[in-house]
Amino acid sequence: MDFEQFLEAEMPGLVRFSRILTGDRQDAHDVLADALIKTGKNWEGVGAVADPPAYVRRIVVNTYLADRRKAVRRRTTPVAAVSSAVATPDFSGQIDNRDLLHQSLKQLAPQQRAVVVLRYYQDLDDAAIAAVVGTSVSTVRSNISRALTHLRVSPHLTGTERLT
Amino acid sequence: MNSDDLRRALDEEGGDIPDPNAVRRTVLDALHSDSTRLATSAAPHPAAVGTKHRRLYPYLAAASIAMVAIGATYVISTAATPDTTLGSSPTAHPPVLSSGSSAGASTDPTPSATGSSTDPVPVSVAAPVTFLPTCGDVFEVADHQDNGLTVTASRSPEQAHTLLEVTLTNPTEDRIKGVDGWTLYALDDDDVVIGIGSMKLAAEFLDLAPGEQTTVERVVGRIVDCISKGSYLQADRVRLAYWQTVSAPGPEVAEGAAAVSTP
Repeated sequence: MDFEQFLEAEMPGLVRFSRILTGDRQDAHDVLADALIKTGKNWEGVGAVADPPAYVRRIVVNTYLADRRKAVRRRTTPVAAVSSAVATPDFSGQIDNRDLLHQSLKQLAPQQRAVVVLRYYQDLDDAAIAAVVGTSVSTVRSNISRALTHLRVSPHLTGTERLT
Repeated sequence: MNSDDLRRALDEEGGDIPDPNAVRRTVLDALHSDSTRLATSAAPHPAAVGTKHRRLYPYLAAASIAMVAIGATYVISTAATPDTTLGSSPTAHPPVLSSGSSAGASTDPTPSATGSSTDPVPVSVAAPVTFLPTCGDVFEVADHQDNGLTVTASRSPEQAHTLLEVTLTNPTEDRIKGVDGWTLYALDDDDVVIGIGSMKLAAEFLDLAPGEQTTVERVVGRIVDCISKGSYLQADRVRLAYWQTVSAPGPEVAEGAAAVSTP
């Protein structure tokens, strides 16, 4: 399979993955494009691995995290934006959980968002997530735990989803 | 809320996806441009500059209108004393770029000279060209000197802004050649330079360590990337100006400036 055939076959899944990972349509385009350009330049190597789509998703995650690290370091967030992002009182109680969940997802730190997506969208276990994001398993667990706390999802879930 | 809610929420976030064909085109165009650039870099042709700017024509009209609207006047002058000695780089003095409404934004880059000057060849400079860089744009280069790149940033004494200058100096063999200088500054609604960060951040902005050399493509790519994402520059608009000089005759040489709206 050459690179263009790979794009043809995997693009829909990769676009969706990138969108969920980044939480933003334009960022998804940029991150995925950057990742695929890297992939295309090294296709001989990438195409030879056992699971090219998984490998490319890993490149996408790393591109996203690297990109976000730089962006966070450089970003000068307007005061008004900070206020609106942090102060989200729910005096009326009319904001339902789904809205709150979407809102909270957008506020996750990039590392936390990445591990949540890999766990709950890609269904990867801790070890696999650690391999993708390049951290230790304990760091992955820590990030998931913090993310879930932030998302107001109980860390004591059922069955295999229970955090240890 | 439980894990199913979370899965559902993530799944819903995947609804508004980018156009897969647009991503595919971006990727293939970038890869194709890379291969084209590599293939043509050994045999440069001045016409390539014209080709580059023809690609930008659709943007030129809109940018020109914007420039007229804000009343910015660019005066570009240039002087160059190319060294015609075989294998050496010309001594180029990039034109001074000034904006009537951006006091203190003029640049004074000082590229290093290599070789001695003999028989100066007139440098022809075409009218300013405006363009709107977007993420993914590939900028070809026109001049093919063996140049490295240095990045400097300075603060204007009149205004608390930082002027970033990217100047090709330090001849090396493995560097992309061509663009003489770049200037990037952020503007507020009144076309006043409001800054792009500190000197340290300027190098960081381009992912460069102090003294590190890089390629024109990398610098331009970084600038355009940041402009299009608006992740670093929080100004109302960003103006990217660059200028080129070449020793070879031809009208394709271009100087330009762009007013770009950050998201």
